[in-house]
Amino acid sequence: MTFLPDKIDMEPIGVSLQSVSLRRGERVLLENLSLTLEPGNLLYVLGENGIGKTSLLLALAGLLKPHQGQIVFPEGASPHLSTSLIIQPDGASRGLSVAENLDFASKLYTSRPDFDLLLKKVGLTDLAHNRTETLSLGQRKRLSLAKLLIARRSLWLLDEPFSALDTSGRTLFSQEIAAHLGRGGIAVIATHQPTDVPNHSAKTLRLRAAK
Amino acid sequence: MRAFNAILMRDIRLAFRTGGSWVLGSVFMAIFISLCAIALGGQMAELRRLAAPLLWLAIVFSMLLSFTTIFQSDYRQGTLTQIALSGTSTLTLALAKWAAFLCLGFLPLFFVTPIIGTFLGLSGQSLLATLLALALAAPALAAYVTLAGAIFCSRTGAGFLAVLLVTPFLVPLLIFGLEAGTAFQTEGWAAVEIRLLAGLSLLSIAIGLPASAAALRVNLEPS
Repeated sequence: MTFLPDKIDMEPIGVSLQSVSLRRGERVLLENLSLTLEPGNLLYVLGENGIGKTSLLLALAGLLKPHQGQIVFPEGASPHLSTSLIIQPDGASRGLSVAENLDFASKLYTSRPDFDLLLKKVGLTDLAHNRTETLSLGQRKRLSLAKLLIARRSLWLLDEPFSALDTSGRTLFSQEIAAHLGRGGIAVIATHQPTDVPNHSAKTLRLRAAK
Repeated sequence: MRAFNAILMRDIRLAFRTGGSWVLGSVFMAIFISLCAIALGGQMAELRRLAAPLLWLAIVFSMLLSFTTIFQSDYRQGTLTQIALSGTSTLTLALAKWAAFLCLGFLPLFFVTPIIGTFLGLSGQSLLATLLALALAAPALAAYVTLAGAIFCSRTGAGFLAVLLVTPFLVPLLIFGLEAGTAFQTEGWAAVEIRLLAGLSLLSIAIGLPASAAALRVNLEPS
């Protein structure tokens, strides 16, 4: 059944990190981090380059195993069934058009959106038949947002979502994040510049290098 | 099943659109055979005798050398991560990539084989037997090349390593494949070698694809 990008149904879930330590090789990135994310929570992860912001997102996505501690999802949910990740590289297939990329994503997620409305919403209607390698960075971010809406996952993990976007793109992203939180979703955003999301207060997690 | 179809159709579409790699295999095969013919002094009698082994070697090398086309670009552009996060298992992913490689990395070579075989002076029956044996061994060849692709998708310039890793698995296929071709000409379908080759092929799929899935899982975890 097709769905409209404005009316997304999904199961709100909470996630908790229990004494999580992360390492990349021998390097310790995070130690003993515990926090709980409830439906509707927005978390900004701040910190210097290379401090472990992206690694935290990867761990929440189930791609990086915590060295110690655990990340607990409720029963029936799992990282690969409940999260969406925007990261570089963004996973758009070179050689396929914007519309074909969205079609591929919709088949993977068994989710049939109204493609015309979706393209209009993210501002890519005119570029629907252009190949992804011809898109600018900002336009690729919009494509990633469209895939996020197709996936209908409750935990959004966004690595620098606002970079490379123009003003209308930033507004679009913050509106969509607000709508997602309003539906009971969670957003974890790794960034250097937190952007206001309408009607929602954010928690902030600032990562610092261990002394 | 839906994810399997989506990945398979996408790979076929991309191969036809971005062009090249699936044709290059056939071109490589033609060049390889021509070089062998020159090296053997162009003696037709000699070539006819060696035609089947040469065709086998050409196909094995051609498939082996294209192992990077299976996963590497999807790994680099982040598509493998996104596929994994969609809830698609790495086994489904490996299966779809294997099927796509059979279509794109083997079928063109299979269609070129009768033409090259005729040039080498193979008789109709030997050609038929060679094609049959190739068709039986292809799923196994593709499974091992998929395994090499999955293991080395995060590394560039791993060509020699991949050859070293996969060659031991290919040796039995080569031995039984050639034997099956010869046996089919005298004993037909009843030949034991045919059944052995089919069994070996199934076994290779059973080992190669789960191993590919495990290799993908390891490679998806950032180092």
